[in-house]
Amino acid sequence: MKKILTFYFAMTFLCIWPLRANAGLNVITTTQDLAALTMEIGKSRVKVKSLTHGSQNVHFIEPKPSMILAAKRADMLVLVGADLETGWLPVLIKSARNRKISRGSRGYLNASIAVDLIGKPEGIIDRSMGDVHPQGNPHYLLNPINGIKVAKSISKRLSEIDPSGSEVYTNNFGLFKEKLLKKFDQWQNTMTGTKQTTIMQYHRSWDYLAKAFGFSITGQVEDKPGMPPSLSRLKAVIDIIQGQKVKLLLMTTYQDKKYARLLSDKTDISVLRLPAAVGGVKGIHSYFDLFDYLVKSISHAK
Amino acid sequence: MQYRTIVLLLIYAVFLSATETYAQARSGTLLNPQISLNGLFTAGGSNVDDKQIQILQGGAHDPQKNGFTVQNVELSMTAAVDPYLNGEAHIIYQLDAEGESRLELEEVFFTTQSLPAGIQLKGGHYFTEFGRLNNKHPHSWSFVDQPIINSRLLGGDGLRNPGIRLSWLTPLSLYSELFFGIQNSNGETAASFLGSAEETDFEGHLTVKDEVSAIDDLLYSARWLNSVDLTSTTTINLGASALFGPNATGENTRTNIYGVDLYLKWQPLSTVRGWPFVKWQFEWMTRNYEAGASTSISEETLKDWGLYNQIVWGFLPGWSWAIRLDHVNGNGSGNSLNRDRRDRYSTNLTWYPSEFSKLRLQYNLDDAQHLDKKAHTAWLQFEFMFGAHAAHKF
Repeated sequence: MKKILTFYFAMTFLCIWPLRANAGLNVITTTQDLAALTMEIGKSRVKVKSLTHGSQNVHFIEPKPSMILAAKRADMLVLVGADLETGWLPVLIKSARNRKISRGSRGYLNASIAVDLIGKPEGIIDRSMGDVHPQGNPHYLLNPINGIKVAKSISKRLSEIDPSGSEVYTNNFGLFKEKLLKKFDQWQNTMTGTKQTTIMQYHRSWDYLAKAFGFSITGQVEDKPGMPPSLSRLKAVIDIIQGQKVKLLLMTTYQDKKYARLLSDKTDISVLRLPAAVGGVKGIHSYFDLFDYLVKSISHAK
Repeated sequence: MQYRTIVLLLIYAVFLSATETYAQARSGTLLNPQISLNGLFTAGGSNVDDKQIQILQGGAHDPQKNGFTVQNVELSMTAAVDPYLNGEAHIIYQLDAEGESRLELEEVFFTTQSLPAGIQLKGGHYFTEFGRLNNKHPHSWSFVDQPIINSRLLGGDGLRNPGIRLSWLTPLSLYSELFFGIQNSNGETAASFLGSAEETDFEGHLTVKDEVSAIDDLLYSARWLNSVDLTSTTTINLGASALFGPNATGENTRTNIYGVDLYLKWQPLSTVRGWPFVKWQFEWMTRNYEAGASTSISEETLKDWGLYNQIVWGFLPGWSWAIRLDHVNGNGSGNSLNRDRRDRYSTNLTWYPSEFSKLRLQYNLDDAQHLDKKAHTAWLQFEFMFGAHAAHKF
């Protein structure tokens, strides 16, 4: 036991020092979307690590020890909020023992504060209604305008934590906003044809995208958010697809394939399984890549 | 009677808080604790009678009889105390094997929020961080019952007592955490140590001591937990734990318990509500119990050891299949019901309709030295929880 401990402490000292040599602000984000936005603003002044991968459903995450370690070393945490990470982020923050990123501190940035959430449920809600988000729909980064709002709040917060870089952050935000607005125009042009297509979605993942690009979504395959559709619901959905001539079903890559298969077997609907975040499929490295991919896929679908 | 009133009040508080929370359309308010209630029930049957089942199912929250068992009704509350501390409380209501109502203070403790250098203090009444399973609550287990070796060495209720614990999350590039704890060594939740004052003997050795009279009469614990992401989809945890304390059979008799544990989880990046996954969990532990001499029996060191090895496979969204092997033994254990050689083979199928409920069907095959036949038992377990969203734990 003594030998093990001696070896252990020796290893500790060998490993600590190289870590301390790293400069730059350590930012962790709960999603790759937020990491991409933080990169746009911080560029070389920050080191950004996303706690989850873009292909993951961010609700169903377990706080792995490696994530606790990353949170322990972070100077800033950016989260989606609106209860998306409620199952794992509070316990992660508790385990990390890092005052800088605890709730209410400067390094804790709930990005949802910057945007107007849609789909806020009214009246009394409970879990018999499924996985309802009381504060509103958390998939808000699928509207590029919300991306700008969030990037702005990241820029502001980075400037507070690292005042010497504030000019750089403000400047980077300006460049990002300009580029995104320009791209948004192009994307909107590409998407004009989609407005005539009747579209359904599996889950309310795409409400913000629809709002941003002016297309409408007829309904959801899910009867209750987050709950797999029942057989009777699927029958009803088939009726809706056939009755309203729904052409397109939008799903995320992490939603159950079997419903896609079933519905495309029984009806003429084409199913698009799309990345819902940066990193959702290979080759999507930036916030721009994400919309390039989504716009191309949806506008080409028939 | 008093207990019942308290429980009813607490349950009422859950309803009240839940209604209030949702009326404000918020999932958690700043000043109110996050409250949840978890109910765990089992029905089952065996080819052996209730008396035998109670010996085979050594965990205090294991299903322990033919027919229905209320395993665990747990009221949990967590909140930030102030900018320095977090608080947590778990209170359990249970019907024991005799049908008696029991109220149990399972855990009530604080942890510090952010001491420097990765240090965290915990104080109160809590489960000792020993191995992987000891500090997990019954509703989070992968089986309806706890491993035999846990029941034997750490006690039916798990090892927990009032005390204080220091943990250090080291600055290594890999996850490495050290725990040191000091707790009381008496009470029914420290059975391998001073234990309950009501016990008159331990394996025939008369108990002569039930009080802490010197600093080394306390229970000392140490744990070293390491974790590595082998790949982006596979993580392994390796731990080693130790316990040192006095036992009740002499003025200076000691008990030492050591254990190693392994946990490996595979989960692809892209999952449907967390499926599929594979979780492999293994623990081995051993106890040296210096049993003092009494009139009819000479002093001896009782050595017990055992392991469990289990795999849980989440094969389809909402479904998992698990197998577990238990093996325990003790030196010169002969006919002792608590120390004999036992092998148990368990398997179960679990269905999770949502994150907040589950239905589990388990089969146990028990092969114990003290039984003249093999015991076959089937359990059907149901769990539900409401209130605050429970924390996902790795």
